[in-house]
Amino acid sequence: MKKRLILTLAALLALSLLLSACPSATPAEEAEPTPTPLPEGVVKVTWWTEPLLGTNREALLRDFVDTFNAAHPDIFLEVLFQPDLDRVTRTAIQGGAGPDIVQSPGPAFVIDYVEADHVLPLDDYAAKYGWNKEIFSWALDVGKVDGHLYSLPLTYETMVLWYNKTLFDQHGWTPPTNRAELEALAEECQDQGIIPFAHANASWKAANEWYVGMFYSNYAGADKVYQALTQQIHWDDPLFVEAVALLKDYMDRGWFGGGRDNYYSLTLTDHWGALGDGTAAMKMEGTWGFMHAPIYFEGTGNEWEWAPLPKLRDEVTPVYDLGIGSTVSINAASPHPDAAAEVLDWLYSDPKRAAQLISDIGGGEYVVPIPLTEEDFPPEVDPRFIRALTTFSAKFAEGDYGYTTWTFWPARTEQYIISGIEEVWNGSLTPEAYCQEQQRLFAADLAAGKVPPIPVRQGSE
Amino acid sequence: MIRRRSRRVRSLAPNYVILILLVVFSLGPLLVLLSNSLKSPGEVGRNPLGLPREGLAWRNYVEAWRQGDYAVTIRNSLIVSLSTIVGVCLISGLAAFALAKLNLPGADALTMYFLVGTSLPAQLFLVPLYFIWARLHLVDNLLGVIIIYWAVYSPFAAFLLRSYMVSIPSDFEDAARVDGASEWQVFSRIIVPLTWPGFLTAGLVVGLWAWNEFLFAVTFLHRPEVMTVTTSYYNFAGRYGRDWGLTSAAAIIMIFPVVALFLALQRRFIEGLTEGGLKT
Repeated sequence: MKKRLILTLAALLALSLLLSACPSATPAEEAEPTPTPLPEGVVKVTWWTEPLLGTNREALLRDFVDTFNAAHPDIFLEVLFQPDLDRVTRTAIQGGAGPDIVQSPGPAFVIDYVEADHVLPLDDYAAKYGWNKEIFSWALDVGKVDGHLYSLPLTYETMVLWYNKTLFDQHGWTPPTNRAELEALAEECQDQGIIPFAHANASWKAANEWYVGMFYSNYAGADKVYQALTQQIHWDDPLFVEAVALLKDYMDRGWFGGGRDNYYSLTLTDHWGALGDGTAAMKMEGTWGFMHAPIYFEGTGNEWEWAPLPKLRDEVTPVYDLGIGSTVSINAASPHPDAAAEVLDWLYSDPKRAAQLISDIGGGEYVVPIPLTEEDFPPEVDPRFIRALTTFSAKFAEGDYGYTTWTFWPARTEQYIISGIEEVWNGSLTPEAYCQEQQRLFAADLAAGKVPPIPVRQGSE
Repeated sequence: MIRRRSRRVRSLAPNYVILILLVVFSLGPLLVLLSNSLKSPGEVGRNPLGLPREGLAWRNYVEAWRQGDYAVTIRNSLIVSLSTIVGVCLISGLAAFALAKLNLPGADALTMYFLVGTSLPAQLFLVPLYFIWARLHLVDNLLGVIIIYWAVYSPFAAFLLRSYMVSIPSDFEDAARVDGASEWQVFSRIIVPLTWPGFLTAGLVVGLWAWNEFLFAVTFLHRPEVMTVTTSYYNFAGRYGRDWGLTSAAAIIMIFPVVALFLALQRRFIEGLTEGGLKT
């Protein structure tokens, strides 16, 4: 027995030595290794970021890290792809260490860091680098706590209507622009055995909040949502209750994923697959879909397209809901905050560089909130993608946007939005009761200072 | 004779039906995993449960190996697992010997302390541990993680080995002591050979734990050159999605060494657990 064990361990050891000799990555994918020791006068800035899929990882290293290091001989930027990013960063920072650049999943998460003095105010850097001219004003506003700037949005996103264009062309359909058109189209899809909306939440329960937020914006309207976020009106206002009732009605009709059972049991992968092969006609989802659409339509012979979400009430002006996917701040324990600020400025200071990075990653990540025009994008980029980015850029530059729940709602209320809507769908809670509980939680969170900064809405008081 | 045999087969039929169902239940997900490891990500979306219909994507294994950096992470995991086995066997063996054979004052309290220590969730001490480890330069260092594994896995192994050692008659040790053996010699020459199956089982269990451990590895190892095999899995996912073809291929790569080790030593593994009086 001993002999067998020793042989097994020896085999494992030999295997490890053999494997270590195998190539692990192509040179193009490898980050520039840290020179050890760093040349005199060179400081190192570390940044832990979300893991990216292969080619996206290469794009970030090539378009951002390598260009930065080439242009800054006195700074060495090292980007590490950190699994379980938020929790690990939080642990490291609380332990008095962590990266120089702190990435968080959104402005609400930064509030905790600010309260514990874990991140530095960026006001002086904003003035030095002119960020108020480069970056949209709302983007700076959402990063402020008690009037001071602590974080910058690294990625913004919005909700759109994705649809199978080939299927639409075959049936002579056009993307719906209002509730009547949407409902007529959904009924026609259902009559023909096509799932109207490829929606499901088995792999991402928080998908529930996408629909609640979209129905608030497109039924009650962005102005009303702003008024509720600032508590000029309450969340149990009849317009919000009607929006939730309409959402329940669509679920009851089996339009989402083909029915409640499918909705709760299928994954994001399944429903993108359904949209790709024409089993489903549309889906309402965020602009991170630009990363998914090419993958799930490949090999199907079908084409994808996107359109603005339809308004669900005549009195409403359609808007794109604004979401912040991630933010960046500077660690208070960083030995080189000035160098870290230089890295942040590299994100926002050149629209062409930003557009190149966004295009190479394919949307969803590093979509920085600066004005972008068609000329900023490389010519080979998919025109549907350019149209989207330039449209959002123009709208958001004017302050014309709606609100996503994961960006502007406090964490506890957001969690209720996600879990409570399932009770509404299942019939164990009325839309009125759901909205009343939201109001109760939101008011308590507001009193506790947990509501993220809400930029002043243009045209509102 | 034939009639009796056929009656016996008939009486066993329900057993076989149940066993076949259990085999399908346990192997089904593995077959789906194997099947999905040979599909493109788009095909996984369109055809998540069926066999590959759009060609076999063998390149998934090559890409998973490359993108998961398995050449580095498997090596690191082997270093961590083998070091954990050696360290835990030494620490817990000595601890078990002291608890079982040396009549230490407060041995029961120490045993209780170990028991309480094993039941504490790791998240409770993660931040202070990171604080200390960062100052000792043990972050991004395989030794830092190995020391943690020694600490958190040794109590379990000590319990297991103690249960073996208490069953050894003290006559063996007494005879050795009469012949002039030191306590170390009693431990290394008498106790270890007699409890060898226990050491084997403890080593296998903690080795598998160290191989599969994620929380400490992902918290204390950030640089790619020190990451372990469980963190490789994250190279196939972004924030908004996962490449299920690569993920499935990576899962096959990751579990293969563990399954091979288990199959090679499964009889001793199960016997060792039951002989010691402890079952997991």
